[in-house]
Amino acid sequence: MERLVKNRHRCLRSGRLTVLCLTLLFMSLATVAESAPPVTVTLDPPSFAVDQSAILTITINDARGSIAELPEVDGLLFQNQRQSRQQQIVIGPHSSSVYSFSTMFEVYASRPGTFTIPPIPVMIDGQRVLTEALTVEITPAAEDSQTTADIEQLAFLRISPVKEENYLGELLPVEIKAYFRQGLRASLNSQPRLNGEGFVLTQPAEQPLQTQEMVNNIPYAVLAWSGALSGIKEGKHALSFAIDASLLLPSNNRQRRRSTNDPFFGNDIFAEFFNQQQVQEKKIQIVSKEMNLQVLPLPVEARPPDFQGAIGSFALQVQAQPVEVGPGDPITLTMTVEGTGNFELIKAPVLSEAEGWKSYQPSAKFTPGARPGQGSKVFEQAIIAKNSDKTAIPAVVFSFFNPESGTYQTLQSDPIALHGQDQNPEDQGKPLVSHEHDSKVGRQQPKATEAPEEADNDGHKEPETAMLNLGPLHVRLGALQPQITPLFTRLSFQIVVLLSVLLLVTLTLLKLRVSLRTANPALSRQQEMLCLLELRLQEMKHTREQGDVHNFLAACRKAMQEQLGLLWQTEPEAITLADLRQHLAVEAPLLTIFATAENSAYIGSTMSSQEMADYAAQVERELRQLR
Amino acid sequence: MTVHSRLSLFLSLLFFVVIGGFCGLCLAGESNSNEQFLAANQAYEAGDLATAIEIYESLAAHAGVSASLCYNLSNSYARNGQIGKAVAGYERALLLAPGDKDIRTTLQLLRQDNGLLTEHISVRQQLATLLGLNQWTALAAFLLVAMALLQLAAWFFPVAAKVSWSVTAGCLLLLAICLAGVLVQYQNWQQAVIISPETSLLISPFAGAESTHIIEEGRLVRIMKVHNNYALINDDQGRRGWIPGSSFERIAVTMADQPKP
Repeated sequence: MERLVKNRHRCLRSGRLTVLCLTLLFMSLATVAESAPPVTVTLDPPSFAVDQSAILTITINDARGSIAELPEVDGLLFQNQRQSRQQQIVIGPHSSSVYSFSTMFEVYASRPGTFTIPPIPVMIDGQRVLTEALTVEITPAAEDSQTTADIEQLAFLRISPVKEENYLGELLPVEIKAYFRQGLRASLNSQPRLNGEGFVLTQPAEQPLQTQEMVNNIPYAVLAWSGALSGIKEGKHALSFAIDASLLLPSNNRQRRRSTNDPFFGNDIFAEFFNQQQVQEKKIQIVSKEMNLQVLPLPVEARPPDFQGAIGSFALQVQAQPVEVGPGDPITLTMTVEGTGNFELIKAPVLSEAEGWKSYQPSAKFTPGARPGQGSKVFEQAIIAKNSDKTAIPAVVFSFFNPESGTYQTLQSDPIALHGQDQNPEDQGKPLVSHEHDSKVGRQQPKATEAPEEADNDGHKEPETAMLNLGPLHVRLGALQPQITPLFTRLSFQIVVLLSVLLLVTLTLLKLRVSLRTANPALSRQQEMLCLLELRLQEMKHTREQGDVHNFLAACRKAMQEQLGLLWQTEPEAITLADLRQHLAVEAPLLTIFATAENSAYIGSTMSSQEMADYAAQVERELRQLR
Repeated sequence: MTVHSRLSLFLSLLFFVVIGGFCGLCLAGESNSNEQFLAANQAYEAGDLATAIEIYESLAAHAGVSASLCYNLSNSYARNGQIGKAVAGYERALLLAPGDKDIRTTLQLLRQDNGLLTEHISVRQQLATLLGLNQWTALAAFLLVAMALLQLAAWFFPVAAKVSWSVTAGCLLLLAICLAGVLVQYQNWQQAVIISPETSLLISPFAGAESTHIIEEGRLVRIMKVHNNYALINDDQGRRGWIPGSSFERIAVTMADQPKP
C-alpha cells in the first residue's frame, strides 16, 4: 500500500514535471514567435498636426529584405527615405546576435482627418510579406488659436482713464500706451487710430515716448503717445484704439516632431551650431479695450452772449501798446488766453463796450504746452478810438464753458487807461504811428510800433499804405490777358513742343540707323548693291525699249562690274572677263553675257529684242542671287 | 487799268482797312482800359476804396488781367480789410510776374502782419518758387527746342561724339530740373485762398456739421475734393476739413477748371 502510494506520488511528480516542461517549451516557443515577427511598422508620433510631420519606420527582423512599393494614401505624403541596420546581441547559454534593417520615411499630411496606411508589401528572401495597417489621426494646425492667445500676451494697448461723461467739443487728454514683450522683435506700421464714431483724435506726436514697464513681473517695452479726444456728436459712443504692427515670431510651420534618438532627423546640428532660428513676420492689429463715453450737449441756460465755443479752463491777460495816443492812432491790443482746453476753436476775446471803437481782424498765434490741450493763444488786434474823448480801453471779456464745474465762466480784464501824447514827454521816444492819417480807411497792422514809410516816388504821402506796409501802386496797366492759364495749356506752345519732340525723335532714329550701318559694313554694302542694281536695271530696261543694243550691253557689263566689285571688294572698272572666269563657274550665264558685252564694246553686235530680254532677265536673276 | 489790277487794288485797300480797323479798335480798347486803370488808381489815392475796387474788378472782368491790375486791386482789398481777397490777388499777380519784388515783398509783409507766414518752407519749395510756372514751362520748352536744333546742326555739321553727348546730357539734366519746377509750381497753382474771416473746418460737407478747426482768412489751402457747394481742403499745417465754396477763392484757372471740349 505504501509502495502504491509512493508510485502514485512519483507518477504525479513526473507528470507535473512533464506538464511544466511542456508549458515552458510552449511558452518559450510562443515568446520567440512573438518577439521576432518578420516585419514591423511603427509611426512616431501616432497622431500629429497638419503643420507637423511623423516618422514611419518599417523594420525587417533577422533577415534581408526590401520594400516592394509604398502605398498611395490620399492626403498623406511619404518623403526622404532613410535606412539603418541594427545588431542586437543576446548573451546567455545560447548566445546569438539578431540583425534588423529599418527603413524610415517622413510623413506629411495635407489636411486634417483620420487616414489609414494600408499594409505595405515587403519582399523577404523572395517572399512577399505584408505589414500591419496603421491608422493615423491628423489634427488641425494649432497655430492660429495659439498665436492669437500668445500675441495678446506679447503685445497689447492700454489707454489712460478718460472721463466717461464729457461735453461736446471738450478736449480730453489721453495717453495711448503700446506694450511689447521685452526682447520681442516688432515694428510699427501705423500711428494709433480711433475706432468708433462721435469723437476725433487730435494727431498724436509721430515719435512716441519709449519706456520700460513691468506687468505681472514681465518686462515690457512701452511706446506712449499723448493725444486728445474731442466729442463731436452727442450721445453714447463705443470707442477703442488700434495700431498696426509687425512681429517677428519663431516659425512653427512644418515643425518636425522627432524622437531624440532618431539618427537622421532628430538634431539639426547646423541650426544649433549657428544658433539660427527660422522666424516669420506676422502683421497684427493691436486693439485696446472698448470704452463707452457719453457726449453731453452744452447747456443752453446761462450761456453768455459772447460765448464762442471755448471749453476748458483758461486765464486771460490783456496788454495794450501804445497807451499814449492821439485821436485816430491805432492801438495794438495783445490778449493772451492760456490754460487747458480746445484752443483750436477759441476765438479772440471782445471789447465789453465796442461802441466808439473800430476793431480790426485779430491775428492769432498758438503756443502748445507740455500736455495735449495745454498752451496759450495770443491774439493781436488793432483798435482805433473813433472819438477823441476816449480815456481808457474798455474791459476785454472772454467767456468759456468749464466742464469740471459744468458752468459758463466769463473773464474780464481791467480797463486800460490811455494818455494823450502831450501829457507825458518822457514817452515821446516810443515809436508811434503817424497822427496825420485818415482813420476811416486802411487796416492797421497789429504790431503798430514801426515808423511809417514817408512817401512814394512821387513824393506823395500814403499814410494808410505806409501803415499796412503796402507797396506803391503800379501806374502802368501792362499786357492784359483774358485768363491766368498755364502756358502748357496753350495750343501754340503745345505745337512748338510737339514739333521739337518730333524733330528730336526723327533725328535720333536717323542717327541710330547710321550708327547701325557703320557698325555693320556688310549691311551697308548690301544696301549699296541693291541701290546700284536697281539703277542699272532701269538703265537696261530703258535701252532695251529703245533697241540700243550697244548701250544695253554696256549697262549689263557695268551692272555686273559694280555688283561683283562690291562683292569682291575691288574697283568695278578693273574687273575683266578673266576675273569672272577665275571666280565663277565655267557654265555661269554671266560669263557669256560679259563676253558678249566686251565684244560689243569693241566690235559692236546685233541682238533681237527677245535676246535682249533674255539677257536682262538672266543678269537680274544672277546678280540678285549674288547678294 | 485792267480789271485784274482794279481787283488787286480793291483787295489791298480792304486788307489795310480791316487791319487798320482792328489795330484801331485794339488801341482804343487799350486806351480805354488804361483810362479806367488810372481812374481806379486815383480813387485809391483819394481813399475811395469801394470805387477803386469796383473799377479794377470791372476792368478785370471785361478786359482781362495783368500783374499790375491784380496788384493794385489787392492793395485796395488790403486797405479795405479784405485780407483773403488781397492775398489771392497778390498770388495771382505773382503768377503773372514772378520776379516782381514789389508784389512779393508786399505779400510777405501782409502775411507777416496777419500771422499767415508759413513757419517752415521746404528747400524744394524754395527752389521751385525761384521761377513761376510759366517761366519753368518756357525754359523747359526752350531747352527742348535748343536740343532739337543742336541735334539738327550736328546732323549737318558733325561734331565729336563726346561733345554731342555732353551737350545732350546737360540739356536733359536742365530739362529734368525744369520739369520738377513745373510740377511743384503747378501744385502751387492749384491752391486757393480763404476769403471769409475765421472759416470753420467741418467734418462733413453740410451746414450743420461739427467744426474741428478754425482756419484764418488769407490762409493758402489745397482743394482735395469738391462735393456740392463744399470743398475738402487741407492747409500747410495739416488741417483738413470741409468748407463752403463761398469761403475760398482759387488763385488761377487750372486744367480741371477749363471747359471740356
